[in-house]
Amino acid sequence: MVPISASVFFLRPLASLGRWGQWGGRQVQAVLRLGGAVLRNLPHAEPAAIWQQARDLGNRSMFFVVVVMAFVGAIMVVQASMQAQRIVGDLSIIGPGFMQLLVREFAPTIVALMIAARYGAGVAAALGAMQVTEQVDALRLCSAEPISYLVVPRVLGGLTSMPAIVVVGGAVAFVSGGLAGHFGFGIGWTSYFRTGFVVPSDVAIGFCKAAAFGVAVPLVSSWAGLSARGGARGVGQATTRAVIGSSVAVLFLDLVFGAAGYVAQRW
Amino acid sequence: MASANPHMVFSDVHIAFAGKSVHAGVSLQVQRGSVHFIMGQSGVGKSVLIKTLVGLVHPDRGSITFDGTEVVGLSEAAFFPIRRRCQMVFQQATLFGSLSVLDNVAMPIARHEQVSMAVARQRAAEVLESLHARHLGERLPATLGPGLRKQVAIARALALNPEALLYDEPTTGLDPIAARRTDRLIRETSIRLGVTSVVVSHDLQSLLSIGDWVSFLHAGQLHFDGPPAKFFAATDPVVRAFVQAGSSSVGHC
Ligand SMILES: Nc1ncnc2c1ncn2[C@@H]1O[C@H](COP(=O)(O)OP(=O)(O)O)[C@@H](O)[C@H]1O
Ligand SMILES: [Mg+2]
Repeated sequence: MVPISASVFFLRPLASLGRWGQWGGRQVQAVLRLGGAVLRNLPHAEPAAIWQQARDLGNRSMFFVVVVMAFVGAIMVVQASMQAQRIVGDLSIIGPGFMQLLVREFAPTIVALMIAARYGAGVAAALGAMQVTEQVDALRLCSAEPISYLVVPRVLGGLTSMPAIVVVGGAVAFVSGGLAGHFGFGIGWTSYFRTGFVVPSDVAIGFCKAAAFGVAVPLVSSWAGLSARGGARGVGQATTRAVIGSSVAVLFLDLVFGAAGYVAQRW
Repeated sequence: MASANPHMVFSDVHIAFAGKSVHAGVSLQVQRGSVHFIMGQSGVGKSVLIKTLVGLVHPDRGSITFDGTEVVGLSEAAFFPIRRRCQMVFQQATLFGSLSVLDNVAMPIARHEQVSMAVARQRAAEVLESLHARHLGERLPATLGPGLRKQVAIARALALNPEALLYDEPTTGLDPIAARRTDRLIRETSIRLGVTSVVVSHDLQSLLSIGDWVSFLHAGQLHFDGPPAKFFAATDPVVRAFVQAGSSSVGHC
Protein backbone atom coordinates (compact mmCIF):
# COMPACT_ATOMS: atom_id res chain seq x y z
CA MET A 1 0.00 0.00 0.00
CA VAL A 2 1.15 3.50 -0.74
CA PRO A 3 1.33 5.81 2.29
CA ILE A 4 -1.28 8.56 2.20
CA SER A 5 1.27 11.35 2.01
CA ALA A 6 2.87 9.80 -1.05
CA SER A 7 -0.45 9.35 -2.76
CA VAL A 8 -1.36 12.98 -2.12
CA PHE A 9 1.94 14.54 -3.02
CA PHE A 10 3.07 12.23 -5.75
CA LEU A 11 0.37 10.07 -7.29
CA ARG A 12 -2.37 12.64 -7.45
CA PRO A 13 -0.34 15.20 -9.42
CA LEU A 14 0.84 12.33 -11.61
CA ALA A 15 -2.73 11.25 -12.27
CA SER A 16 -3.75 14.77 -13.18
CA LEU A 17 -0.65 15.01 -15.34
CA GLY A 18 -1.88 11.87 -17.09
CA ARG A 19 -5.31 13.40 -17.62
CA TRP A 20 -3.71 16.55 -18.99
CA GLY A 21 -1.60 14.44 -21.28
CA GLN A 22 -4.65 12.59 -22.58
CA TRP A 23 -6.51 15.84 -23.04
CA GLY A 24 -3.54 17.37 -24.86
CA GLY A 25 -3.25 14.28 -27.04
CA ARG A 26 -6.89 14.60 -28.09
CA GLN A 27 -6.41 18.28 -28.98
CA VAL A 28 -3.32 17.50 -31.03
CA GLN A 29 -5.22 14.73 -32.81
CA ALA A 30 -8.05 17.12 -33.60
CA VAL A 31 -5.62 19.67 -35.05
CA LEU A 32 -3.92 16.97 -37.13
CA ARG A 33 -7.31 15.78 -38.40
CA LEU A 34 -8.08 19.34 -39.45
CA GLY A 35 -4.68 19.43 -41.15
CA GLY A 36 -5.59 16.28 -43.06
CA ALA A 37 -8.89 17.82 -44.14
CA VAL A 38 -7.01 20.92 -45.30
CA LEU A 39 -4.73 18.73 -47.43
CA ARG A 40 -7.73 16.97 -48.99
CA ASN A 41 -9.33 20.33 -49.77
CA LEU A 42 -6.19 21.89 -51.27
CA PRO A 43 -7.32 21.31 -54.88
CA HIS A 44 -10.25 23.69 -54.33
CA ALA A 45 -8.05 26.53 -53.04
CA GLU A 46 -8.91 29.91 -54.56
CA PRO A 47 -5.92 32.18 -55.21
CA ALA A 48 -7.94 35.35 -54.53
CA ALA A 49 -9.00 34.10 -51.09
CA ILE A 50 -5.44 33.04 -50.24
CA TRP A 51 -4.08 36.42 -51.29
CA GLN A 52 -6.72 38.16 -49.19
CA GLN A 53 -5.74 36.16 -46.10
CA ALA A 54 -2.03 36.71 -46.71
CA ARG A 55 -2.67 40.44 -46.93
CA ASP A 56 -4.87 40.34 -43.85
CA LEU A 57 -2.12 38.61 -41.88
CA GLY A 58 0.41 41.19 -43.04
CA ASN A 59 -1.85 44.16 -42.39
CA ARG A 60 -2.71 42.99 -38.93
CA SER A 61 0.79 42.07 -37.81
CA MET A 62 3.31 44.22 -39.67
CA PHE A 63 3.29 47.27 -37.40
CA PHE A 64 3.42 45.11 -34.26
CA VAL A 65 6.24 42.97 -35.70
CA VAL A 66 8.32 45.98 -36.75
CA VAL A 67 8.03 47.73 -33.38
CA VAL A 68 8.72 44.64 -31.31
CA MET A 69 11.59 43.40 -33.52
CA ALA A 70 13.22 46.86 -33.36
CA PHE A 71 13.26 46.60 -29.58
CA VAL A 72 14.36 42.96 -29.62
CA GLY A 73 17.31 43.76 -31.94
CA ALA A 74 18.50 46.69 -29.84
CA ILE A 75 18.09 44.86 -26.53
CA MET A 76 19.93 41.75 -27.72
CA VAL A 77 22.87 43.66 -29.17
CA VAL A 78 23.18 45.79 -26.03
CA GLN A 79 23.19 42.70 -23.80
CA ALA A 80 25.56 40.77 -26.04
CA SER A 81 27.93 43.72 -26.30
CA MET A 82 28.04 44.17 -22.53
CA GLN A 83 28.96 40.54 -22.05
CA ALA A 84 31.46 40.50 -24.91
CA GLN A 85 33.14 43.62 -23.57
CA ARG A 86 33.60 42.02 -20.16
CA ILE A 87 34.70 38.61 -21.32
CA VAL A 88 36.53 38.83 -24.64
CA GLY A 89 36.71 42.56 -25.29
CA ASP A 90 36.11 41.98 -29.01
CA LEU A 91 32.86 43.37 -30.42
CA SER A 92 33.57 42.62 -34.06
CA ILE A 93 31.76 39.25 -33.95
CA ILE A 94 28.54 40.75 -32.53
CA GLY A 95 27.07 41.65 -35.92
CA PRO A 96 27.66 38.44 -37.84
CA GLY A 97 26.89 36.32 -34.76
CA PHE A 98 23.61 38.10 -34.24
CA MET A 99 22.81 37.75 -37.92
CA GLN A 100 23.21 34.00 -37.76
CA LEU A 101 21.13 33.76 -34.61
CA LEU A 102 18.38 35.82 -36.21
CA VAL A 103 18.30 33.75 -39.39
CA ARG A 104 18.33 30.36 -37.71
CA GLU A 105 16.30 31.04 -34.63
CA PHE A 106 15.06 34.37 -33.42
CA ALA A 107 13.47 35.98 -36.45
CA PRO A 108 11.16 33.04 -37.31
CA THR A 109 10.32 32.16 -33.71
CA ILE A 110 9.71 35.60 -32.25
CA VAL A 111 7.81 36.80 -35.31
CA ALA A 112 5.67 33.63 -35.30
CA LEU A 113 4.89 34.05 -31.60
CA MET A 114 3.77 37.60 -32.27
CA ILE A 115 1.63 36.49 -35.18
CA ALA A 116 0.14 33.76 -32.99
CA ALA A 117 -0.97 36.47 -30.58
CA ARG A 118 -2.14 38.95 -33.17
CA TYR A 119 -3.42 37.01 -36.18
CA GLY A 120 -4.17 33.73 -34.37
CA ALA A 121 -6.50 35.45 -31.92
CA GLY A 122 -8.19 37.23 -34.82
CA VAL A 123 -8.72 34.00 -36.77
CA ALA A 124 -10.15 32.22 -33.73
CA ALA A 125 -12.47 35.13 -32.95
CA ALA A 126 -13.73 35.33 -36.53
CA LEU A 127 -14.28 31.59 -37.00
CA GLY A 128 -15.54 31.17 -33.43
CA ALA A 129 -18.16 33.87 -33.97
CA MET A 130 -19.20 32.16 -37.21
CA GLN A 131 -19.42 28.82 -35.43
CA VAL A 132 -21.54 29.94 -32.47
CA THR A 133 -23.90 31.98 -34.67
CA GLU A 134 -24.45 28.93 -36.91
CA GLN A 135 -22.83 30.59 -39.93
CA VAL A 136 -20.54 27.58 -40.32
CA ASP A 137 -23.63 25.34 -40.43
CA ALA A 138 -25.20 27.75 -42.91
CA LEU A 139 -22.12 27.37 -45.13
CA ARG A 140 -22.52 23.60 -45.02
CA LEU A 141 -26.17 23.97 -46.03
CA CYS A 142 -24.97 26.06 -48.99
CA SER A 143 -22.66 23.21 -49.96
CA ALA A 144 -19.66 25.42 -49.23
CA GLU A 145 -17.33 23.07 -47.35
CA PRO A 146 -16.24 25.23 -44.36
CA ILE A 147 -12.72 23.84 -44.40
CA SER A 148 -12.00 24.73 -47.99
CA TYR A 149 -13.85 28.01 -47.61
CA LEU A 150 -12.51 29.17 -44.24
CA VAL A 151 -9.40 27.22 -43.28
CA VAL A 152 -7.53 26.46 -46.52
CA PRO A 153 -7.13 30.15 -47.53
CA ARG A 154 -5.88 31.02 -44.04
CA VAL A 155 -3.36 28.19 -43.94
CA LEU A 156 -2.02 28.93 -47.43
CA GLY A 157 -2.08 32.65 -46.71
CA GLY A 158 0.03 32.01 -43.61
CA LEU A 159 2.40 29.75 -45.54
CA THR A 160 3.09 32.47 -48.10
CA SER A 161 3.15 35.56 -45.92
CA MET A 162 4.94 34.29 -42.81
CA PRO A 163 8.38 33.93 -44.51
CA ALA A 164 8.06 37.45 -45.93
CA ILE A 165 7.19 38.95 -42.55
CA VAL A 166 10.01 36.99 -40.92
CA VAL A 167 12.47 38.52 -43.40
CA VAL A 168 11.17 42.01 -42.65
CA GLY A 169 11.18 41.41 -38.89
CA GLY A 170 14.70 39.96 -38.98
CA ALA A 171 16.00 42.86 -41.05
CA VAL A 172 14.47 45.40 -38.67
CA ALA A 173 16.00 43.65 -35.66
CA PHE A 174 19.42 43.48 -37.35
CA VAL A 175 19.40 47.17 -38.30
CA SER A 176 18.17 48.35 -34.90
CA GLY A 177 20.82 46.15 -33.28
CA GLY A 178 23.41 47.78 -35.52
CA LEU A 179 22.29 51.24 -34.48
CA ALA A 180 22.37 50.29 -30.80
CA GLY A 181 25.80 48.70 -31.20
CA HIS A 182 27.21 51.69 -33.07
CA PHE A 183 25.90 54.43 -30.83
CA GLY A 184 26.08 52.55 -27.54
CA PHE A 185 29.34 50.62 -27.95
CA GLY A 186 31.05 52.18 -30.92
CA ILE A 187 30.87 49.06 -33.08
CA GLY A 188 31.89 50.05 -36.61
CA TRP A 189 29.31 49.83 -39.39
CA THR A 190 31.52 47.59 -41.51
CA SER A 191 32.35 45.18 -38.71
CA TYR A 192 28.67 44.86 -37.70
CA PHE A 193 26.98 44.59 -41.09
CA ARG A 194 28.59 41.34 -42.16
CA THR A 195 26.88 38.12 -43.15
CA GLY A 196 30.00 35.94 -43.01
CA PHE A 197 28.74 33.52 -40.35
CA VAL A 198 25.55 32.66 -42.18
CA VAL A 199 25.80 29.49 -44.25
CA PRO A 200 23.17 28.15 -46.68
CA SER A 201 21.92 25.60 -44.16
CA ASP A 202 21.10 28.43 -41.73
CA VAL A 203 18.97 30.07 -44.37
CA ALA A 204 17.31 26.74 -45.19
CA ILE A 205 16.47 26.05 -41.55
CA GLY A 206 15.18 29.57 -41.00
CA PHE A 207 13.02 29.35 -44.09
CA CYS A 208 11.63 25.93 -43.19
CA LYS A 209 10.78 27.18 -39.73
CA ALA A 210 9.02 30.26 -41.06
CA ALA A 211 7.01 28.14 -43.51
CA ALA A 212 6.08 25.57 -40.86
CA PHE A 213 5.03 28.29 -38.40
CA GLY A 214 3.07 29.93 -41.20
CA VAL A 215 1.01 26.74 -41.51
CA ALA A 216 0.81 25.94 -37.79
CA VAL A 217 -0.49 29.27 -36.49
CA PRO A 218 -3.55 29.54 -38.77
CA LEU A 219 -4.23 25.80 -38.54
CA VAL A 220 -4.27 25.72 -34.74
CA SER A 221 -6.19 28.99 -34.56
CA SER A 222 -8.81 27.79 -37.07
CA TRP A 223 -9.24 24.60 -35.07
CA ALA A 224 -9.74 26.69 -31.91
CA GLY A 225 -12.32 28.89 -33.64
CA LEU A 226 -14.25 26.03 -35.25
CA SER A 227 -14.48 24.15 -31.96
CA ALA A 228 -15.99 27.14 -30.13
CA ARG A 229 -19.26 26.32 -28.35
CA GLY A 230 -21.81 28.38 -26.50
CA GLY A 231 -22.07 32.07 -27.35
CA ALA A 232 -19.72 34.96 -26.69
CA ARG A 233 -17.99 33.15 -23.84
CA GLY A 234 -17.11 30.28 -26.12
CA VAL A 235 -15.58 32.72 -28.61
CA GLY A 236 -13.47 34.28 -25.85
CA GLN A 237 -12.22 30.88 -24.76
CA ALA A 238 -11.47 30.00 -28.38
CA THR A 239 -9.17 33.02 -28.80
CA THR A 240 -7.30 32.08 -25.63
CA ARG A 241 -6.93 28.52 -26.87
CA ALA A 242 -5.73 29.77 -30.24
CA VAL A 243 -2.98 31.95 -28.77
CA ILE A 244 -1.77 29.34 -26.30
CA GLY A 245 -2.11 26.44 -28.73
CA SER A 246 -0.38 28.13 -31.63
CA SER A 247 2.42 29.49 -29.40
CA VAL A 248 3.07 26.00 -28.06
CA ALA A 249 2.97 24.62 -31.60
CA VAL A 250 5.54 27.21 -32.72
CA LEU A 251 7.92 26.43 -29.87
CA PHE A 252 7.50 22.69 -30.32
CA LEU A 253 8.20 22.90 -34.06
CA ASP A 254 11.16 25.18 -33.31
CA LEU A 255 12.62 22.51 -31.08
CA VAL A 256 12.00 19.79 -33.68
CA PHE A 257 13.61 21.81 -36.47
CA GLY A 258 16.51 22.81 -34.22
CA ALA A 259 17.18 19.17 -33.34
CA ALA A 260 16.80 18.07 -36.95
CA GLY A 261 19.15 20.80 -38.11
CA TYR A 262 21.71 19.81 -35.50
CA VAL A 263 21.55 16.14 -36.52
CA ALA A 264 21.76 17.04 -40.20
CA GLN A 265 24.88 19.13 -39.60
CA ARG A 266 26.64 16.36 -37.70
CA TRP A 267 26.22 14.00 -40.62
CA MET B 1 -50.66 11.36 -38.02
CA ALA B 2 -49.70 8.07 -39.60
CA SER B 3 -49.94 7.96 -43.35
CA ALA B 4 -48.72 5.74 -46.12
CA ASN B 5 -46.10 8.15 -47.39
CA PRO B 6 -44.73 10.60 -44.81
CA HIS B 7 -41.98 13.00 -45.91
CA MET B 8 -39.78 12.53 -42.86
CA VAL B 9 -39.77 9.74 -40.30
CA PHE B 10 -37.86 9.79 -37.01
CA SER B 11 -37.75 6.40 -35.31
CA ASP B 12 -36.36 5.85 -31.83
CA VAL B 13 -33.80 8.66 -32.13
CA HIS B 14 -31.23 8.84 -29.33
CA ILE B 15 -28.85 11.79 -29.03
CA ALA B 16 -26.45 12.53 -26.19
CA PHE B 17 -23.67 15.11 -25.87
CA ALA B 18 -20.69 14.16 -23.72
CA GLY B 19 -22.77 11.53 -21.93
CA LYS B 20 -25.68 13.92 -21.32
CA SER B 21 -28.82 12.53 -22.95
CA VAL B 22 -30.90 14.99 -24.97
CA HIS B 23 -33.21 12.61 -26.85
CA ALA B 24 -33.98 9.17 -25.50
CA GLY B 25 -36.05 7.48 -28.18
CA VAL B 26 -38.01 10.11 -30.13
CA SER B 27 -40.28 8.87 -32.92
CA LEU B 28 -42.40 11.12 -35.10
CA GLN B 29 -43.52 11.62 -38.68
CA VAL B 30 -43.85 14.74 -40.79
CA GLN B 31 -46.43 14.72 -43.57
CA ARG B 32 -45.72 15.97 -47.05
CA GLY B 33 -46.70 19.60 -47.59
CA SER B 34 -47.72 20.17 -43.98
CA VAL B 35 -46.65 22.97 -41.64
CA HIS B 36 -45.42 20.85 -38.76
CA PHE B 37 -44.52 22.55 -35.47
CA ILE B 38 -41.97 21.16 -33.04
CA MET B 39 -42.42 22.72 -29.64
CA GLY B 40 -40.98 22.36 -26.18
CA GLN B 41 -39.04 24.27 -23.60
CA SER B 42 -35.63 25.79 -24.31
CA GLY B 43 -32.88 23.23 -24.26
CA VAL B 44 -35.20 20.26 -24.79
CA GLY B 45 -33.40 19.55 -28.07
CA LYS B 46 -35.66 20.95 -30.78
CA SER B 47 -32.82 22.44 -32.81
CA VAL B 48 -30.70 19.34 -32.37
CA LEU B 49 -33.55 17.16 -33.62
CA ILE B 50 -34.15 19.03 -36.88
CA LYS B 51 -30.42 19.40 -37.54
CA THR B 52 -30.12 15.62 -37.75
CA LEU B 53 -32.12 15.74 -41.00
CA VAL B 54 -29.43 17.73 -42.81
CA GLY B 55 -26.41 16.14 -41.17
CA LEU B 56 -25.42 18.96 -38.83
CA VAL B 57 -25.96 16.65 -35.84
CA HIS B 58 -25.47 12.89 -35.91
CA PRO B 59 -27.73 10.75 -33.73
CA ASP B 60 -26.20 8.00 -31.61
CA ARG B 61 -28.97 5.56 -32.36
CA GLY B 62 -32.22 5.30 -34.30
CA SER B 63 -33.34 5.91 -37.84
CA ILE B 64 -34.30 9.05 -39.73
CA THR B 65 -35.61 8.92 -43.27
CA PHE B 66 -36.09 11.79 -45.66
CA ASP B 67 -38.41 10.88 -48.51
CA GLY B 68 -37.67 7.24 -47.84
CA THR B 69 -33.88 7.64 -47.75
CA GLU B 70 -32.10 6.73 -44.52
CA VAL B 71 -29.90 9.67 -43.50
CA VAL B 72 -28.37 8.34 -40.28
CA GLY B 73 -24.77 7.39 -40.94
CA LEU B 74 -24.40 9.28 -44.21
CA SER B 75 -21.07 11.01 -44.86
CA GLU B 76 -20.76 14.77 -45.18
CA ALA B 77 -20.55 14.43 -48.96
CA ALA B 78 -23.64 12.20 -49.06
CA PHE B 79 -25.60 14.92 -47.26
CA PHE B 80 -25.06 17.45 -50.06
CA PRO B 81 -27.90 16.14 -52.24
CA ILE B 82 -30.15 15.94 -49.18
CA ARG B 83 -29.37 19.56 -48.26
CA ARG B 84 -30.29 20.64 -51.73
CA ARG B 85 -33.77 19.20 -51.24
CA CYS B 86 -34.13 20.09 -47.56
CA GLN B 87 -32.90 23.54 -46.58
CA MET B 88 -32.76 25.19 -43.19
CA VAL B 89 -33.48 28.71 -41.94
CA PHE B 90 -31.30 29.15 -38.87
CA GLN B 91 -32.36 30.82 -35.67
CA GLN B 92 -29.74 33.53 -35.74
CA ALA B 93 -29.01 35.87 -38.60
CA THR B 94 -26.73 33.52 -40.46
CA LEU B 95 -26.41 35.63 -43.58
CA PHE B 96 -22.80 36.02 -44.66
CA GLY B 97 -21.87 39.49 -43.49
CA SER B 98 -19.38 40.31 -46.22
CA LEU B 99 -21.77 39.41 -49.05
CA SER B 100 -24.67 41.49 -50.38
CA VAL B 101 -28.20 40.17 -49.98
CA LEU B 102 -28.22 39.12 -53.63
CA ASP B 103 -24.92 37.24 -53.27
CA ASN B 104 -26.17 35.58 -50.09
CA VAL B 105 -29.10 34.15 -52.03
CA ALA B 106 -26.90 33.33 -55.03
CA MET B 107 -24.33 31.45 -52.95
CA PRO B 108 -26.21 28.15 -52.51
CA ILE B 109 -27.20 28.19 -56.18
CA ALA B 110 -23.61 28.71 -57.33
CA ARG B 111 -22.28 26.08 -54.95
CA HIS B 112 -24.89 23.36 -55.19
CA GLU B 113 -25.46 23.60 -58.93
CA GLN B 114 -21.90 24.61 -59.77
CA VAL B 115 -22.94 27.45 -62.04
CA SER B 116 -21.14 30.79 -62.40
CA MET B 117 -21.91 33.55 -59.92
CA ALA B 118 -23.45 35.62 -62.76
CA VAL B 119 -26.01 32.91 -63.55
CA ALA B 120 -26.64 32.34 -59.86
CA ARG B 121 -27.25 36.06 -59.31
CA GLN B 122 -29.89 36.12 -62.01
CA ARG B 123 -31.74 33.23 -60.39
CA ALA B 124 -31.28 34.80 -56.95
CA ALA B 125 -32.87 38.01 -58.20
CA GLU B 126 -35.94 36.03 -59.31
CA VAL B 127 -36.21 34.37 -55.92
CA LEU B 128 -35.99 37.75 -54.16
CA GLU B 129 -38.59 39.11 -56.58
CA SER B 130 -41.00 36.31 -55.68
CA LEU B 131 -40.68 37.30 -52.01
CA HIS B 132 -41.07 41.01 -52.87
CA ALA B 133 -37.53 41.66 -51.68
CA ARG B 134 -35.75 42.45 -54.95
CA HIS B 135 -35.05 46.02 -53.82
CA LEU B 136 -32.88 44.70 -50.95
CA GLY B 137 -30.45 42.98 -53.30
CA GLU B 138 -27.52 45.38 -53.09
CA ARG B 139 -27.73 45.94 -49.32
CA LEU B 140 -25.43 44.31 -46.81
CA PRO B 141 -27.11 42.11 -44.16
CA ALA B 142 -25.91 44.36 -41.32
CA THR B 143 -28.01 47.24 -42.69
CA LEU B 144 -31.26 45.21 -42.45
CA GLY B 145 -33.51 44.85 -39.41
CA PRO B 146 -34.12 41.38 -37.94
CA GLY B 147 -37.43 40.95 -39.81
CA LEU B 148 -35.90 41.64 -43.21
CA ARG B 149 -32.87 39.52 -42.41
CA LYS B 150 -35.20 36.63 -41.67
CA GLN B 151 -36.95 37.25 -44.98
CA VAL B 152 -33.63 37.13 -46.82
CA ALA B 153 -32.62 33.96 -44.96
CA ILE B 154 -35.88 32.36 -46.12
CA ALA B 155 -35.17 33.53 -49.67
CA ARG B 156 -31.71 31.93 -49.50
CA ALA B 157 -33.22 28.68 -48.26
CA LEU B 158 -35.73 28.77 -51.11
CA ALA B 159 -33.11 29.50 -53.76
CA LEU B 160 -32.65 25.84 -54.61
CA ASN B 161 -36.36 25.08 -54.86
CA PRO B 162 -36.24 22.66 -51.94
CA GLU B 163 -39.07 20.26 -51.21
CA ALA B 164 -38.73 20.83 -47.47
CA LEU B 165 -37.71 23.73 -45.24
CA LEU B 166 -36.63 23.56 -41.60
CA TYR B 167 -37.24 26.77 -39.68
CA ASP B 168 -35.47 27.14 -36.33
CA GLU B 169 -37.47 29.59 -34.19
CA PRO B 170 -38.35 31.85 -37.11
CA THR B 171 -40.27 34.39 -35.02
CA THR B 172 -38.08 34.47 -31.90
CA GLY B 173 -36.57 37.92 -31.44
CA LEU B 174 -38.88 39.59 -33.96
CA ASP B 175 -41.39 42.28 -33.05
CA PRO B 176 -45.02 41.11 -33.30
CA ILE B 177 -45.60 42.69 -36.71
CA ALA B 178 -42.48 41.15 -38.23
CA ALA B 179 -43.35 37.86 -36.53
CA ARG B 180 -46.81 37.73 -38.11
CA ARG B 181 -45.35 38.73 -41.48
CA THR B 182 -42.89 35.84 -41.15
CA ASP B 183 -45.78 33.49 -40.31
CA ARG B 184 -47.58 34.56 -43.47
CA LEU B 185 -44.41 34.07 -45.49
CA ILE B 186 -44.03 30.52 -44.16
CA ARG B 187 -47.66 29.68 -44.93
CA GLU B 188 -47.55 31.27 -48.41
CA THR B 189 -44.35 29.45 -49.23
CA SER B 190 -45.88 26.19 -48.11
CA ILE B 191 -48.96 26.72 -50.28
CA ARG B 192 -47.32 28.33 -53.32
CA LEU B 193 -44.44 25.87 -53.62
CA GLY B 194 -45.88 22.91 -51.76
CA VAL B 195 -42.83 22.64 -49.52
CA THR B 196 -43.02 20.66 -46.31
CA SER B 197 -42.31 23.06 -43.45
CA VAL B 198 -40.92 21.96 -40.10
CA VAL B 199 -41.14 24.87 -37.69
CA VAL B 200 -39.32 24.80 -34.36
CA SER B 201 -41.03 27.40 -32.21
CA HIS B 202 -42.25 28.58 -28.81
CA ASP B 203 -44.71 30.90 -30.49
CA LEU B 204 -48.28 29.73 -29.80
CA GLN B 205 -49.67 32.51 -31.97
CA SER B 206 -47.71 31.12 -34.94
CA LEU B 207 -48.99 27.63 -34.21
CA LEU B 208 -52.54 28.89 -33.99
CA SER B 209 -52.40 30.80 -37.26
CA ILE B 210 -50.33 28.56 -39.55
CA GLY B 211 -49.77 25.14 -37.92
CA ASP B 212 -51.22 21.89 -39.27
CA TRP B 213 -49.66 19.65 -36.66
CA VAL B 214 -47.63 19.93 -33.48
CA SER B 215 -45.13 17.60 -31.85
CA PHE B 216 -44.32 18.60 -28.29
CA LEU B 217 -41.05 17.39 -26.80
CA HIS B 218 -40.49 17.01 -23.11
CA ALA B 219 -37.65 15.39 -21.16
CA GLY B 220 -36.15 13.65 -24.17
CA GLN B 221 -39.45 12.15 -25.31
CA LEU B 222 -42.28 12.99 -27.66
CA HIS B 223 -44.89 14.09 -25.15
CA PHE B 224 -47.75 15.19 -27.41
CA ASP B 225 -48.39 14.69 -31.13
CA GLY B 226 -51.55 16.00 -32.78
CA PRO B 227 -53.35 18.89 -34.45
CA PRO B 228 -53.13 22.38 -32.84
CA ALA B 229 -56.76 22.39 -31.70
CA LYS B 230 -56.15 19.26 -29.61
CA PHE B 231 -52.90 20.75 -28.32
CA PHE B 232 -54.65 23.85 -27.01
CA ALA B 233 -57.39 21.72 -25.45
CA ALA B 234 -55.07 19.12 -23.96
CA THR B 235 -55.55 18.20 -20.31
CA ASP B 236 -52.01 16.88 -19.90
CA PRO B 237 -50.42 19.01 -17.14
CA VAL B 238 -47.10 19.57 -18.96
CA VAL B 239 -48.78 20.71 -22.16
CA ARG B 240 -51.25 22.84 -20.21
CA ALA B 241 -48.46 24.58 -18.32
CA PHE B 242 -46.71 25.33 -21.62
CA VAL B 243 -49.89 26.61 -23.28
CA GLN B 244 -50.90 28.71 -20.29
CA ALA B 245 -47.45 30.24 -19.90
CA GLY B 246 -47.55 31.32 -23.53
CA SER B 247 -51.22 32.17 -23.87
CA SER B 248 -50.97 35.63 -22.30
CA SER B 249 -48.87 36.70 -25.26
CA VAL B 250 -51.23 34.99 -27.71
CA GLY B 251 -54.13 37.12 -26.49
CA HIS B 252 -52.25 40.36 -27.08
CA CYS B 253 -51.02 39.81 -30.59
N1 LIG C 1 -22.83 20.67 -30.39
C1 LIG C 1 -23.24 20.49 -29.13
N2 LIG C 1 -22.38 20.04 -28.19
C2 LIG C 1 -22.79 19.83 -26.92
N3 LIG C 1 -24.03 20.04 -26.48
C3 LIG C 1 -24.93 20.49 -27.35
C4 LIG C 1 -24.60 20.74 -28.72
N4 LIG C 1 -25.70 21.18 -29.37
C5 LIG C 1 -26.68 21.20 -28.44
N5 LIG C 1 -26.24 20.79 -27.24
C6 LIG C 1 -27.04 20.66 -26.01
O1 LIG C 1 -28.21 19.94 -26.34
C7 LIG C 1 -29.32 20.46 -25.64
C8 LIG C 1 -30.42 20.79 -26.60
O2 LIG C 1 -30.07 21.90 -27.39
P1 LIG C 1 -31.06 22.57 -28.46
O3 LIG C 1 -31.49 21.55 -29.44
O4 LIG C 1 -30.34 23.76 -28.99
O5 LIG C 1 -32.31 23.04 -27.58
P2 LIG C 1 -33.59 23.85 -28.08
O6 LIG C 1 -34.74 22.95 -27.80
O7 LIG C 1 -33.65 25.07 -27.23
O8 LIG C 1 -33.42 24.15 -29.52
C9 LIG C 1 -28.83 21.67 -24.86
O9 LIG C 1 -28.63 21.28 -23.53
C10 LIG C 1 -27.53 22.02 -25.50
O10 LIG C 1 -26.65 22.54 -24.56
MG1 LIG D 1 -32.95 25.88 -30.46
